[in-house]
Amino acid sequence: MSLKFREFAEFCSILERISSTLEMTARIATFIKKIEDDNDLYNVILFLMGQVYPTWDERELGVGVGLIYEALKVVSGVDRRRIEQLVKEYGDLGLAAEKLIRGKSQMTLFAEELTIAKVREIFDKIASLEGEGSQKRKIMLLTDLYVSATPIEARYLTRLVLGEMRLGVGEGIIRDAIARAFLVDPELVERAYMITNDLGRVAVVAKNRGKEGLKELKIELHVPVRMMLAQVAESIEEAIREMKNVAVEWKFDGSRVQVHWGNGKVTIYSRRLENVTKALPEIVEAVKRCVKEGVILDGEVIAVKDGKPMPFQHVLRRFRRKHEITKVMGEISLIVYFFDILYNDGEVIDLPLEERRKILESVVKENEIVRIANQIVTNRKDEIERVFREALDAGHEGAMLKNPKSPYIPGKRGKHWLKLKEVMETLDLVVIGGEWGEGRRSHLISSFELACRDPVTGKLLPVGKVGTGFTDEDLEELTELFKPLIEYEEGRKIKFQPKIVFEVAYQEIQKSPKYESGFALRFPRFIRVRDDKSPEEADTIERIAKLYESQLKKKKA
Amino acid sequence: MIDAIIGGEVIKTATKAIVSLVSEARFHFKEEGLHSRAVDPANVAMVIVDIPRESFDAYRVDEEKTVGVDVNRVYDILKTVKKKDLVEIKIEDESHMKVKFGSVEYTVALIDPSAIRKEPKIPELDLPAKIVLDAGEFKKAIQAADKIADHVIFRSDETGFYIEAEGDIDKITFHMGEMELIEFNRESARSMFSVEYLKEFVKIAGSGDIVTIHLGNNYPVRLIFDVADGKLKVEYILAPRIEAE
Repeated sequence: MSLKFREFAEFCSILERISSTLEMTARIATFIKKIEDDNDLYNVILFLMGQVYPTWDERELGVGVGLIYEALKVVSGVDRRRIEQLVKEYGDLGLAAEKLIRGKSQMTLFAEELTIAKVREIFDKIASLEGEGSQKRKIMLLTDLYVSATPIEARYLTRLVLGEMRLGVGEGIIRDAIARAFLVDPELVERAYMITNDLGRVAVVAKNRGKEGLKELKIELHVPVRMMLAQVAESIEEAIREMKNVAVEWKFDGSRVQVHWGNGKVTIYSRRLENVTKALPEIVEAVKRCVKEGVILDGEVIAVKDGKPMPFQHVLRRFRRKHEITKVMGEISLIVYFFDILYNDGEVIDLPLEERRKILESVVKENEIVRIANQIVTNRKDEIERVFREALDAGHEGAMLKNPKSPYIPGKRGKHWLKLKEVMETLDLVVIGGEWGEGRRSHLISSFELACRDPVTGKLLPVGKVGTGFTDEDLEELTELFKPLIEYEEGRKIKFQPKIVFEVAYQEIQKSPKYESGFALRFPRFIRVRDDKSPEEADTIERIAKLYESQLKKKKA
Repeated sequence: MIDAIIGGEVIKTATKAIVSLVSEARFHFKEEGLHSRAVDPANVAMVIVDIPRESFDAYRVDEEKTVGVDVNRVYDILKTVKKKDLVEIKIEDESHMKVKFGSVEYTVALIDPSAIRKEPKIPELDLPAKIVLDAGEFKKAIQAADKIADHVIFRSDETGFYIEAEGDIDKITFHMGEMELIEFNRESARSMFSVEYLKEFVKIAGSGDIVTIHLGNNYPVRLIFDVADGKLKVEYILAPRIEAE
């Protein structure tokens, strides 16, 4: 017998009231320890984080706010306008759904008690639907869930479908809870997670095979590995002192990709580990032609037009546009620069970079689309500066300084990789609301409300609005992008599901009582959509406070 | 292979009964006749349709078969059928159903039955009161109630059967004593129901048709309609609404 969904929902409602990370971890550990069934354990781990599938899984529910409204309408008999009113009142669709189910005066002929397995079964069915009539069927399946749901189950079902549980449970807490529940080292859980990117699977392995099982988890083809990241270099001298010899590469202004090529197919993941294979057909073909099968490569895709690199957005635009690829293919050509290898008929991440580089050179035969990033190994400052200038002159971001002796550590932002960039402070903020334009722009969403993260409570704190830096073309694209995320509208004002991150520049950070964060941005300007970042990776209130402090210091100096 | 000929009104009414709750349903062609049942997405009401073999003008079923039917589509096609027309239904393979009347033959794609929402079990209900009356009268009462309220109360006691609706200012009471009812067991019962559903149900009924009501206390009701000159039996089971204190 699968775990009852009601037990899960009640547990969530307890977590929601807890703010202490330690207590939350302890409670989750106790809860998951008691789960007998492996599938239940897997699902609960994902559900707690508001996920139905690991982020890299191609499957998705494809259920927006609109379909939820429809299903709730069928179940409650309440019309859409009234439901929207409730959402406004409570500021959360989950609470509105709970209220609607509680207020139901119509009884049903049958009610089946929801279990975790049943919810999973229906989610899988929803995810498998596509094409004509799929919206209607999705509404039916959602209705099936709501028909059987108690009020509290309706709250968390809704949030789960929308992918925001509002529990403040992040990956870190789940990782520590798994470690605690199954008595294994958190570091080991972390490593297993970076390799599999599936905490559900990690939990099941930890439960059944403990420490040994986790250690045995290895990188696999077509399962994305967390990418190794770079810190900002303090200075070139410091890097040379730290590394002795430095492997220097260009830091490309493009999009990071991880390319898996094996078992006859190529799969490409973005930095967020989303499957972006379909957006990059020419890369897939070129990899098949030029690269030895059975490898996982790390690299950067850049867009080129008439021989010149195009801004980074042009690559991201393709990631977003999963469907009309052939239309845009002709306009811009793509080049992939590979700079690392993680797998060559087996894991190679523990080899030092200099050896991985040799393997990389042996498996890739370069052509006009597939390249190996140039690398020089040097201990001279002027050499490094030369590469840095070259990269900037070519329109890229700067240089990467890597320790040739270092292993590839998935998910690690450490001292082995340093990035050298031109300084411009920008913030990555979550878009939580917006406003329709006026006059000529009345059909466009023309200003956006931004928020930073409070990592402790998981809350999003408003820091201001951005309404400049957009071209009309930008606004048209953004309006299309945001329309499905509209939770409700009030006059010209719009509330969005917080899914999208903007990079914004600003002149200054000011203290402000106007916004919940306590800060406001002076003259914010839109730079781009950070498609490669999820809201969980947006900047925190702490970072803003720090920037504010350093700004003060500069002023005084 | 299935080949059946049936009066236009019978099949039209049967599909109309089903589309009041769902747009797709399984049709079971059995030895004893055609059977179909479905529950609406909100699990509030069930429809059970039975056309006995004897109600067909011809009925040939080589092998009992279950097919998935886009009932909305079929009902749409049958809208133009005249009462006296004969309709021929033919199924030769898994993928299509032919519907022929007059000089037109429609070929309708069938749906994989497994893609249709699971078929409900018919619940066993213990309902004390049994009331039989003219379906046309019942229909009038529901239509009147619909004008003033979204719910009605069905109740019975030794003095007869009542349908009561209360709007913001208006009130309607429909009453039939034992003498006016076709059959009545004088039992007491009382439940409240949504007019939204009832008004859809009564669409299939006309004067001269008969409805049998099995009523309980705050419990689902069974409404059994004998329509199309008694050739078609349509049963609805409707869950009650909770009466506000």
